[in-house]
Amino acid sequence: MRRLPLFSIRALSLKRAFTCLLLIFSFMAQLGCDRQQAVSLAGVGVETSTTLFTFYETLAQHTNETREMEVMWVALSKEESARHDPCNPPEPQQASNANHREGNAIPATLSTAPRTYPPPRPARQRPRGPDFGPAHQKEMTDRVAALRSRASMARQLSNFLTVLKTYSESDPGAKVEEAANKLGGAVASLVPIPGIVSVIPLLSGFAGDLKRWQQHKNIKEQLRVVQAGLSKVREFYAKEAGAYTSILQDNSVSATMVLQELIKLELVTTWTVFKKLPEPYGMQWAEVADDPEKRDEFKCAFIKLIRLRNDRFMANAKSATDNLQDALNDFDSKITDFLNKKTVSWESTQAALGRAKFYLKEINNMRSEKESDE
Amino acid sequence: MSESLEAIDERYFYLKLHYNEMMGKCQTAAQEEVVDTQFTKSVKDHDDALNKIFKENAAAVVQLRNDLIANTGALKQQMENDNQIVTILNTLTAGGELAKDLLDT
Repeated sequence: MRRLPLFSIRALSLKRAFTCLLLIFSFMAQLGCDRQQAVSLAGVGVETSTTLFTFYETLAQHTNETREMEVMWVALSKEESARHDPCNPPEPQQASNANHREGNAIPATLSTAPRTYPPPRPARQRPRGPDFGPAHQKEMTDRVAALRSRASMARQLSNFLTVLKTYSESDPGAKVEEAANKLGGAVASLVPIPGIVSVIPLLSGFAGDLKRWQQHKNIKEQLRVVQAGLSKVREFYAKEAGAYTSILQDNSVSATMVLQELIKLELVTTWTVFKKLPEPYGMQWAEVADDPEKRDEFKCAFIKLIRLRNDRFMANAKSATDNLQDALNDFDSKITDFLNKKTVSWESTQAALGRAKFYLKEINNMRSEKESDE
Repeated sequence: MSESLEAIDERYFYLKLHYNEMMGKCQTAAQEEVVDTQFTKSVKDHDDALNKIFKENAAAVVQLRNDLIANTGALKQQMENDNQIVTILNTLTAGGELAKDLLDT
């Protein structure tokens, strides 16, 4: 076997050592870069899962409120005048003050002028009205429990991602390197072997790099765990999205029906909604609100207004559900990009998340408007 | 094939919004009965549809929550282990320094 000259062997070893060092250096630089990406990824994940938690909590809250509004609606619907349709009033000859039934008096919030009511109907065995019985009550309780269970799951996802973010932010490699360096110094001072001092930084650096590599491996493993969990979340979110929208819309419809009964029964002062409208034009409201001829027209206008708001709210409910679904899908694709060593950008996830948050805020704003109306 | 949630919702929301108006237009008890039966059925259909959807995934949601709790615990333990390595190295360093001090004296 032909032996290589000593010079060539040395040259070859130096070249190999240089290449190895270069590879290690670029690998370590990549690890540092990946760690930063992992921190950002976990951060976006925390935001997404927290929004998911808020969404489920909102749904549970809306379900409870819907139940309360249904109870109120049932109570209001016992009033005969709640069935009067101001947008389609009865013919004048059919309705007269003489038809006003005893016990169905309505508070005179606008004036004491005679009012028109639908003609009395024959006595019935029981007053007809919407009925939300015990079976429905149980369904609502179960629904709230199901939503709270999902909220709890979303909170756990957020907790996990928060811990992962903290783990990715930490640099255990640097800590280990520093501690190993100190230990090496202590050992060298105890056992004075020639040349040991020069090896210590190399060994502690190696210990630190090993820890960094282990951390990098762990982060990837944990992100795979996140992705597996996220895949399940996406799966049942897709199956349940229609139900989420339905719950939000049911809340809006329930609020609208209570408000329209309150308007019909004249239990709310509707004028305040538009009170300041003429002011910028230097106008003020005439005293037409007290005109009994106009009463039905006003009621009808306000009922149309709250139904218009209901339409807007229902569209927002659908948008909030859809955009949160987009954000979850997008976050999942970003984890895949990271694991496949692709460059990760957050714009699309942030945009979908921003839209979901916007619609959720709109929903809550409209609800507080309704509460103030009531 | 069962009716879609969208179709159930559409009927349920319409009847909920217009129930009193429809009842107000009824001239006979039979007509009221029809509206009332339709409304009660729409409430039940809506409840059943939502309940079915949530029940289908109930076990998966609980399982996922438990898995996430376990994984969070494991990750925290990993961080704790990292800290322990540093603590052990620091303890050994302190021991070495102490031994050196003892040898010197």
